[in-house]
Amino acid sequence: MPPGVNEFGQAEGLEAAGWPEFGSEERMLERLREGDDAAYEALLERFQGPVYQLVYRLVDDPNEAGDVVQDVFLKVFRGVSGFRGQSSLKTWIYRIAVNEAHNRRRWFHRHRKAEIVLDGDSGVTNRIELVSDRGRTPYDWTLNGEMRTAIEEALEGLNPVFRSAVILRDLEELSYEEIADILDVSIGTVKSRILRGREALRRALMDKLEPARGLALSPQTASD
Amino acid sequence: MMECQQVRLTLSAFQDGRVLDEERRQIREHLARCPACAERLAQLDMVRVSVRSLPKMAAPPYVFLALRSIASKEAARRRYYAGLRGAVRAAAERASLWVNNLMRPVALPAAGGLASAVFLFALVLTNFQGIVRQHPNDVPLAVVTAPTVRSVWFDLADDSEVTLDIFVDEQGRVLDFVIPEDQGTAASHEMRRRLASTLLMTSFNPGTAFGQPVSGWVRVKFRGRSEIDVRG
Repeated sequence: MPPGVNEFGQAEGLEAAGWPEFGSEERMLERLREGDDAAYEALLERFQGPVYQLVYRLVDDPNEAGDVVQDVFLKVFRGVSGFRGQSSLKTWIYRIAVNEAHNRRRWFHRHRKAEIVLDGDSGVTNRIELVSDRGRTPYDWTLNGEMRTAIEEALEGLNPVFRSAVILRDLEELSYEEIADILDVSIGTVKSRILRGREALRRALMDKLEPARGLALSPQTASD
Repeated sequence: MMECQQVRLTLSAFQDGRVLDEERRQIREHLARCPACAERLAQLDMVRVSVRSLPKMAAPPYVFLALRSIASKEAARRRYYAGLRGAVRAAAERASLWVNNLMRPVALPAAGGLASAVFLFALVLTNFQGIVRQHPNDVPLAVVTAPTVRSVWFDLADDSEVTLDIFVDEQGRVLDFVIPEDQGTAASHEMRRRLASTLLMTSFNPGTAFGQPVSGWVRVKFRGRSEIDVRG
């Protein structure tokens, strides 16, 4: 079996980890430790979007995502001198993001859930509202608003443990090995979490869409 | 042949291509003849497509600005500490070089002097062996030692020789004495009286066993006015 390829013939974690402008990831880390502005800028350019996307889907209140992302990168910048390369820089940053999002969600449930919003016109307050008016993507032309809302709600109602695995796999398109590294669990656990997460999403979506289901699902085998 | 329950547990991995070739073949065979499982797979595919189709959320502009601000501050902080560490390291190197330059000229003489001192001391040490003497009050470290004479006032008034076996207790006092028969000296009554009074004025260091004082017999030979020979 060639190196970097797993038993299923898939590439293992060979994401765009290269840093051509710095030569290698080690050199890039070295520049970060030296306080090179260009290295910091390159790191943000590479990861600020994906990390925001990930955190946005993991926290319960999307308005918190911006603060959490700032905390994530502050930890990354502060911890880069202690990063010894046991994992890739990408999985390390994602791990911090997942942990921060979980911490913030726990904090949110403890402190903020009981708060009452007095200002009813304070603008965007939840994820459904945030995404429902941002049409014009191919997604919007293929799925109607009801379907999109159902997916958002189903994802939001998913157990956070399974949600992390599903989002890392289906939204961030990470390999099982990378997900296992990020969540600090075995490959088998990753498989199990993705399976249970997708099953829960399937049930939730079927329940929501069944009464007015306009989408005809035709059985289709993988060999088709 | 795989059952529905078994297939449904592997559908997720099947979607991601995380099953082995043989398993994949069996799943496909099952799906071809089981409409319920095929529909389950279709639903799971829809779920996956739906999640993947969720819009990519862009971070608000204030987040970008805040991240740049954090990055700038952290980079500056690192440069400061990197500069500080560099200055400390340079100072340490300069100090090391200065000490090295200072010590190098004297290193050989100092090492030679030290070696010479050790050599000479080793030579002289052999001559010091007899100087160290045992203090009279030292506790003997041998397992068993005999009593020894501490002080004596003795006067036989002539040059005759007397040998006695003396019993000394733990405090070094004389409790008893006898004239050994093999010495063949039939001491007169006057001699025995003088010996008794003399031994009253004589004190011993008691014998020891494992460092503790014990009572015991000791053979003492008196000769003339001042000579004394003690054998335990």
